[in-house]
Amino acid sequence: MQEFSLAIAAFLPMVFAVTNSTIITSKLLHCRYKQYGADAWLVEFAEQASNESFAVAGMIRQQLMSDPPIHLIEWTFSYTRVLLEFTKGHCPEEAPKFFHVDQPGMISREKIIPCRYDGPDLERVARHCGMPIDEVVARHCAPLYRVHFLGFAPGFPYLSGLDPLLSTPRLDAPRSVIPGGAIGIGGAQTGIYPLPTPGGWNLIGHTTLEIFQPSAAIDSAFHFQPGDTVRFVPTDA
Amino acid sequence: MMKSKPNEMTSQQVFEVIAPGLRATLQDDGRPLLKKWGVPRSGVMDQKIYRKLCLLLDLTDDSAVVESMFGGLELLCLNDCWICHAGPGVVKINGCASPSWRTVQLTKNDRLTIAHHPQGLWNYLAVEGGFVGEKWLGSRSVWPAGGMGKLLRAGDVLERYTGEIYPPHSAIKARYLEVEPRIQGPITVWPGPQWDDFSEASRCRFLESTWKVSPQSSRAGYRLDGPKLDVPAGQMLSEPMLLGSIQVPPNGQPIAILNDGPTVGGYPKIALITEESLDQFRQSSPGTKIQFSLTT
Repeated sequence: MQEFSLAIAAFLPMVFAVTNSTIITSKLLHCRYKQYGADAWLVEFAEQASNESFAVAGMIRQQLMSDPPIHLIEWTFSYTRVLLEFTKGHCPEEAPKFFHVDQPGMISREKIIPCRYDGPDLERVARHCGMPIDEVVARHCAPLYRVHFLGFAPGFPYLSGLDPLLSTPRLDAPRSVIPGGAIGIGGAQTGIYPLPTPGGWNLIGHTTLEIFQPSAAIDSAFHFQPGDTVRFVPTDA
Repeated sequence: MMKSKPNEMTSQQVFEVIAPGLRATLQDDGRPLLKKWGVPRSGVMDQKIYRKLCLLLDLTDDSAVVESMFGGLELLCLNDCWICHAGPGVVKINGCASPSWRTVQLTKNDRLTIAHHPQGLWNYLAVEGGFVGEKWLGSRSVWPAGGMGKLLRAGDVLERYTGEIYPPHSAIKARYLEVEPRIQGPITVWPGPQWDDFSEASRCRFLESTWKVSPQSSRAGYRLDGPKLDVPAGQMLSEPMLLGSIQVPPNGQPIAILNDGPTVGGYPKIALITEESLDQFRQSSPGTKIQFSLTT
């Protein structure tokens, strides 16, 4: 397997693009590249999940959309990596490069999720965190969460931003079915179950929004997309 | 379950499910490019068979076929139609063995059964026009865990598409393909993204051991019984996965991620099954002995 670092190249300023007669200089992003089978590259663009890795993922995503590498057929993010899949037999010998660009106009949709805080584990979470239920709710609603990527189940958002004080271990025995729309806390993460699945997270509430609609067209089937920001708003409905 | 059908197409009932066997579903080529939404590929577990069946019956490349795991499927024909079946199992029509890779004209009230054969796990039945099925995210592949359709049950009625865009009934003739010898030998693999993180002893053990497909396997993935592999120290963050990746969870028992499996995973991946070996691997029934060989 080939793995090489672009550490040196990362410090070379590059002329990146010419927009409205303004020359924007940009730097190569420092990434680590691994070949993954014959037709894919796995690019590691950060070492850990953070607000910075979220921003870098946004830059890479925009470059993939505006100037996709030839023969690229699919790209999939995780917190710190992006998988680039190419048409069979057309994987480039060198991985595509990505640049650091300041994007003041980068669009981040804010999704408001009405949440009824009535989950069966709300009390357990409050007990574990040593605070009243009201405070659990207030702390869960306070942050602006970031959707880093979707995975685990169709449309399931991997969010960052949970207040560390709400961190609660997963259940010892996972439930065999968690209803769609359930909102839970698992360790230091929070998330929304898009459809009924087994799961071990502490359920603190639910939303009536349809996070995933399998019968809809692809562009409207998923409530979230990577790069979105999310806010929970308590509701009685 | 076969409720929606596109307006421009008409359909006709072709089979009633008398017994579904252990697991029978409609499948097509799946959802190959939706990983970024957390949607696995799904689709047929034996692509080669699927493509050839489509060829034999002039089917478009989004046509659904019936996929039967372990056999046990029994169907009653409701209207005359051309079919074609293939797979390792034994197919009988009205009690007489029917060879794979031939178009067969069924008549009303014929009974078709598929019985398991230890040589392989997945058997397929295609019908002229293709089976009617609802499309979820562009594919008729059934994936119950993802809210996309259900397993076939006794009493279900299967329909096929008819109409002008498909060749009329009379256009299909008796056709056959030469039976290719079953591919045997080791499963070829690429080094996985974390290959270098595994100890040399673990890598050798992986390549030199004989593995057995565990009975605890499904369309999402096959567990492999064999010696325990040492897992690299330290937690890794989840990363996107390719179908065919062999990941090693902390218990040291490898799992090959297959069609209905997750799109991201946090366990180190020692290897990736090559596309050339995937069908052979997926056809391996529980108990089948497997060896891996590294490709370069």
